[in-house]
Amino acid sequence: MTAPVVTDDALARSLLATCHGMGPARLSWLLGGAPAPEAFEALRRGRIAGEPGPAPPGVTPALVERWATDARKLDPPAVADALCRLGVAVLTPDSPGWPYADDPHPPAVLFARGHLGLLAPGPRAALVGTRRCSAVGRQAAFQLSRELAQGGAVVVSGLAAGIDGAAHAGALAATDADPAPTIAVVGTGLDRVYPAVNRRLWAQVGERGLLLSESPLGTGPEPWRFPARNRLIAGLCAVTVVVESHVRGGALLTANEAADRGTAVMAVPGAITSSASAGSNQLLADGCPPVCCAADVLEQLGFDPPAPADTGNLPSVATQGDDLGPLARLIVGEASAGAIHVDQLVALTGRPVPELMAKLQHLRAEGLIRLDGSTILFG
Amino acid sequence: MFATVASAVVEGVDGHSVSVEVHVSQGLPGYTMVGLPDASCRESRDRVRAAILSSGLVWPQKRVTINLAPSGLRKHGASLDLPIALGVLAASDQIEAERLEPVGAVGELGLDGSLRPVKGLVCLAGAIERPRIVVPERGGAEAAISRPEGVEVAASLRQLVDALRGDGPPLSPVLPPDGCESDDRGGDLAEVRGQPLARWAVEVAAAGGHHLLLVGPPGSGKTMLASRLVGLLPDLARPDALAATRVHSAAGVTLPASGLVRRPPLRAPHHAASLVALVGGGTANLRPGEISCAHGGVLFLDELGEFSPVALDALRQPLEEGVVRVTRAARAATLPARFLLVAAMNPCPCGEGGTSGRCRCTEQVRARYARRLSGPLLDRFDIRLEVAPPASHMLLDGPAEEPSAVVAARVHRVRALAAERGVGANALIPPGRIDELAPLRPEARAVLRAALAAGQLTGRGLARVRTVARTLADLNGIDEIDEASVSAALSLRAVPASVLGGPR
Repeated sequence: MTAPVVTDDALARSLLATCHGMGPARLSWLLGGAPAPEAFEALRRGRIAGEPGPAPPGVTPALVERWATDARKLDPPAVADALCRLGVAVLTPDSPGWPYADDPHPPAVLFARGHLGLLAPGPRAALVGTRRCSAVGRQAAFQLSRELAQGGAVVVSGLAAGIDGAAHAGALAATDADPAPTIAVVGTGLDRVYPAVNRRLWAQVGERGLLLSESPLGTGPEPWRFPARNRLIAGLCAVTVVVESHVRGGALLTANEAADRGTAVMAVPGAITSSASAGSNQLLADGCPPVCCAADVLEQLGFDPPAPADTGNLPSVATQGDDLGPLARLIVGEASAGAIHVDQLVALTGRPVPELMAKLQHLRAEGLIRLDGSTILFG
Repeated sequence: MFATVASAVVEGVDGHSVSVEVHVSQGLPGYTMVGLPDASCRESRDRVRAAILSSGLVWPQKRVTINLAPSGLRKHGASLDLPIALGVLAASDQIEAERLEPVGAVGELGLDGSLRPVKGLVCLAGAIERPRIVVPERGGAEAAISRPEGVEVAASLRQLVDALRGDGPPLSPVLPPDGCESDDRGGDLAEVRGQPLARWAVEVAAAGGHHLLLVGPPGSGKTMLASRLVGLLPDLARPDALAATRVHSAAGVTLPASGLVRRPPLRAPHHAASLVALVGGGTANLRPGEISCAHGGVLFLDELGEFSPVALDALRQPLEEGVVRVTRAARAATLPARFLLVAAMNPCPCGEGGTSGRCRCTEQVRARYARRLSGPLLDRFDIRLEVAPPASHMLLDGPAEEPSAVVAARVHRVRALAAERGVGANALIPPGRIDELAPLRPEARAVLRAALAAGQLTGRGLARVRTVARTLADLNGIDEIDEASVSAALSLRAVPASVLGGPR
């Protein structure tokens, strides 16, 4: 990642976006076709450059006056400095590789951190869902995402708690190579981690994948920005998959945005007893194609259907265990078949507990297994 | 017209000498008590008066003034009934004051003149500065623990007065109890079948005194394991036994028949226990809490996730220091509180969040449940054990397991090794001496270095893992800690994801 260079146009747009209540529609109106630096200077003098059309709803002379006050308080070199220091690139509709050229509601400016190459045209799938998800939904999101990433797709989501987080984690887990194929479109400024529970994930996506936001630095979690960010997720992807959604929820808004743009909406079937799947099941009832495995999504993205015998992407135990002893091979083999408790391992192997516990630490250090308390998990 | 009787009151687990001064003078018949008595102490007037009359003695129809010195110390409870009665009798010339001079007394009076035992006799008996003390008959053994000589018992006020006057037979002295304790060890480890890991972890915890966290669904045997753990611990050494006995006496816990608490106690407070009930304190008098009652033994907190977070975090300081300092506006007390903490919790509120995969909780509910357990407290548990229900065929047809006696022999050996090093248990090895007492072989060092680099361990965690490794090496009879011991200690420290509130 090279240090981004902030152009005058990009900087001016970032500054304008910082003004109170400035959404993409208002910002486009304010620019009114004029170059952004000119518009910013004009606003500081209390005027509007270019030829703005009819004002969008809610824009009053008082609001424009407030924007002018905000603009006068801003310190352009400091903002440019902060952007450079945090490694945040500013994209504008003129930037090469601008992904929203044909979008009905494009952002006026985009802030990005990470691998911008992920915005190049290519197969992208959105995996979205509720924050109040079930364990099953989280597992499904993680697994689907990992397999989509391994199948060659870029996984896009919103880095919220629940399904979104699992989707990013799955894509990050799919590969050790950078860039990891995942894009997070967030609702806050890129320097404001939200929700805090995803702090580590946020850093990883910014490091190995791509973080995107249309909110300038310093923007906290304002409620109106999250539905707005959903349209950006839908606008990036050829397919939007709803993994789990309650009857109402942000994931369904994303699905609507996708439908408005004419891209495919798919849903993961869930148990009828789970309220976390009520919304996604409703999508299926309305005619969305179901997602039963990652191949369903990959096919929709235009990949060739996989050979029927392909059983998944798990690294082969036989090849990994070559230089391990027979006991270690057995442990890793059992763990790869599903979570297993140490007690079960004792019953299987007949080996004493202390020896097994020492062995587990070796395998853990090798990264072959994880320990969840006394339960052994694969990978 | 004036008499003084030596007695004592208990605060925390310390007895404080109290001098009961009684003055009987001419004037309107009346009764005044000064010297910070609390309500139950003030009520002694009616008990004492009735007891004196019931004993066929005379209540002086004069002005009676009672001072409880030192006047700055708050007196509570009924333990001063007997000295007050004796003082009134001496001041009204019904007993010769010289005969009362070498005698201290403590006890509660019934309206019929009978003597009743009071709480904290172990602490009280030691605090009375007289060659002889008289205590109620049923408290004799207790008092004799801290005072091998000069304890005499009386069944009633009349018997005592007769003995003092020389009208009746002298009171019989009590000898310190030395009877054998019944060997009740609360269930045998042989009954724990099909859970080899849990059996081993309990053995390690007992051997090294390591705090143990049990996470598992309902019915997986967590309580069973905790109660077996106490049975593995060796008898308390004399100083610890005395300290435990004092606490139990002050808290009003029934003492064993032999008087001295020789077996490590098991205390299992309910999760609704308040902060004060847990750590000690109270407004009326400083009472030892459950953690002090568990001194030398095991504090078992079942349903750890349901305890109030405030109460749990109050455990951190005693866990570090082995004592708890209870401070109130007027008073402060330092109570012993060195215990092995065994805590059990479900993986989540529905209880099925472990291996079974049947959990019905949402992530938020799980996260909220896990938040009860603060990181610093979690850090104090050297062994984190996920208890899985045993396979059903093991319960019925499994092979016979080692009985407690065999495991306890190994535990005692490791404890003896720790004692040779000059620490009570391996878990108590101070950080400054860990290099000396738990030397690492180079391979073991490499394992720890890798774990630190991988972020598996914190600085404190490193020291804790080394003490557990010390215990494991001791169990294997190894002097310099080997790689297998360190590795197994690291595995024992793995945190169940459910405790952190995250998904696995």
